[in-house]
Amino acid sequence: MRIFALCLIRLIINYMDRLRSIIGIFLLAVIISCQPVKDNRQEETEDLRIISIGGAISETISALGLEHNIIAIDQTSTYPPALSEKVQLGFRNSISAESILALNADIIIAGKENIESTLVESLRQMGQEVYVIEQNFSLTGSHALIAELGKLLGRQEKAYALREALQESMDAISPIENKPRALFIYARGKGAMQVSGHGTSAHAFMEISGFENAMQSISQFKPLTPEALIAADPDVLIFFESGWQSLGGADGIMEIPGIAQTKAGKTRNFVTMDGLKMLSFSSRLPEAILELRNKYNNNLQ
Amino acid sequence: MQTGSGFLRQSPLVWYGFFIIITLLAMVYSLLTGVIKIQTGHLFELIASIWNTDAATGKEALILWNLRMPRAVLSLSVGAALAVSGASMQGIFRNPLVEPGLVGISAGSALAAACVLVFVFPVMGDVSPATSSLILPLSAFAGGLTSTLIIYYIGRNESIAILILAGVAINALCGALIGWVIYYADDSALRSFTFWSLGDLSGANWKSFLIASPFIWLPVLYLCRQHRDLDMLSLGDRQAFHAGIQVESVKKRNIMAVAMAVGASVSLSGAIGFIGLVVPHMIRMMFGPSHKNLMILSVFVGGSLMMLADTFSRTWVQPAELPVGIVTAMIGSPFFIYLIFNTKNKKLL
Repeated sequence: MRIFALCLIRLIINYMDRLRSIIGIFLLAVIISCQPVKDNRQEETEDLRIISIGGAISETISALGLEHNIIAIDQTSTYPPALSEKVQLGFRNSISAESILALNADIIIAGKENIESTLVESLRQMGQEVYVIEQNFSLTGSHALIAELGKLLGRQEKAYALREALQESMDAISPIENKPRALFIYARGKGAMQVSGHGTSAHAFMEISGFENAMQSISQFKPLTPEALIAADPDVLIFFESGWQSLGGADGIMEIPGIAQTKAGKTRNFVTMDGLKMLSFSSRLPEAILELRNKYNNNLQ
Repeated sequence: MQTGSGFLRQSPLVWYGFFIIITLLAMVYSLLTGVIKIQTGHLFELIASIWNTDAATGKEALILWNLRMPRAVLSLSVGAALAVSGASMQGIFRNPLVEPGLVGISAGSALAAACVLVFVFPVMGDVSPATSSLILPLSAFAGGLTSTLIIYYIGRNESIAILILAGVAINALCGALIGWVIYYADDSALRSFTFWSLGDLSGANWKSFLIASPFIWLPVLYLCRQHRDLDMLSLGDRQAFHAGIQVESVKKRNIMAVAMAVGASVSLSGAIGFIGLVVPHMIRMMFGPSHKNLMILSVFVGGSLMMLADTFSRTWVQPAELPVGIVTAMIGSPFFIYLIFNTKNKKLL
């Protein structure tokens, strides 16, 4: 009799087990079938796991209020500073597919410039959702970046507010008469200095800030030569903070052949900017423009 | 020249078996190691999962089949190609310092690949990965072959020293031309180009491997079959000629095969140094200069060393990766210095 009861209980438990899995499958089916109906991902984003590759993208996702959803970043993602606690995947070529897979992300959002196309392809083949954003370095591009990420992550309202604020700050910036001629020097130590021609994000930033790029004749980044520097004769030289340090500050820069002969060298009009803030064309764009202008004007006085 | 000990030379089959097992163990190790840990027992289930589509959808299976497996077989192929090519070149030129890098094959391949990346692909617009994985190996092969033939013709009837000097000169020229091409490269082309100078296997996938593997393995098999001619050549050109060897034609055919194998490997993995130089020396130290053992064992030793180097490159700076060329140079250079001292003491060189 007891054995019979035990068998019965066993049977019921077995049956319950099966029932549970049937209920599970049923629920899953309901959830899946419901998904297309929902067009707003607001609720889902609560525990969305994002891998963000590219400084401007990480910055914008954070500005949209989703900083805590970012689980991993690349080396260019330096703002906001709290991101430094996330998993660091490395820089472009050294990002490995396996590390990304290991993180169980729901979505990987990457700037086209910040990720290898072969990596994107292999991640997609393995069923990862990879969203690649090609950024346009202009005010329209900044709006587009914020809007695109807002839509993708279900934060349209927040994105709209960010864009309103961006446009307001941009409208408040007055145009400059007699554009000063600026030259951006990308330096990684004295042996490796490059100037930015047109087609670069640095060129776009100088133009949008009301400066004229003193290196109009070249495209992309080209090595700096003393004669080209003197011929360009810029009023102001712009450096990244990291590059400024690698050159040994203002005194080190004055020793670079050709610098002392330019207007910028004579007046020591050197400006340093944070690389990401200057070139990300994110919601911090107006802030970056004002910073450049203020530093330039302070040097003039 | 002193040869290896009698026991080592008398039982080559045992040693072939031993090195095949070493290669398999290296492969298992490289498949098990990575950011995501796979248990040894689980590995064989995962390998079997290719016939069982239900199990093949798990993350571990994905990683094994899409990332680690193509990488392991690619590094095996590249290591084998470089080592066999190095052994063959050292035999043809009768000089222990020669490696595919020194006689300009790697530089020529890299230059051709750089030209295609910087000048041809931008003109073609959006190039699909399939097209690029076909065009790149072919152009790298053409580049490697051209630079090698130039060197070969400069040094054809001269001493081997002239030939090696010609190699140095062509290498320098290719290096300069690569620098010049880079001047025209935009930012993204430039970044994908660091790959060619340091060597990198992270782009490994089945498609590019399958396209390139005939270009690698056919010449490797061909080179392995040339051991008799190479043995004769090691006596000197004249002696080989009197022994009935068509000296010039043997040299030319070997160089063609080496250019094809190295060109194809460079196009997939960039220029990886030291494997082609160190591996043949290792084997010669153990088994003497007979080319039969040298060529066949180069395949296994070169392949397994390369797989191990690539495994280290994947795991040293987790979660990021190092270019594998850095690893091979870091392991290879001290070992080579050790070899120099060792052989100097034993008067092997």
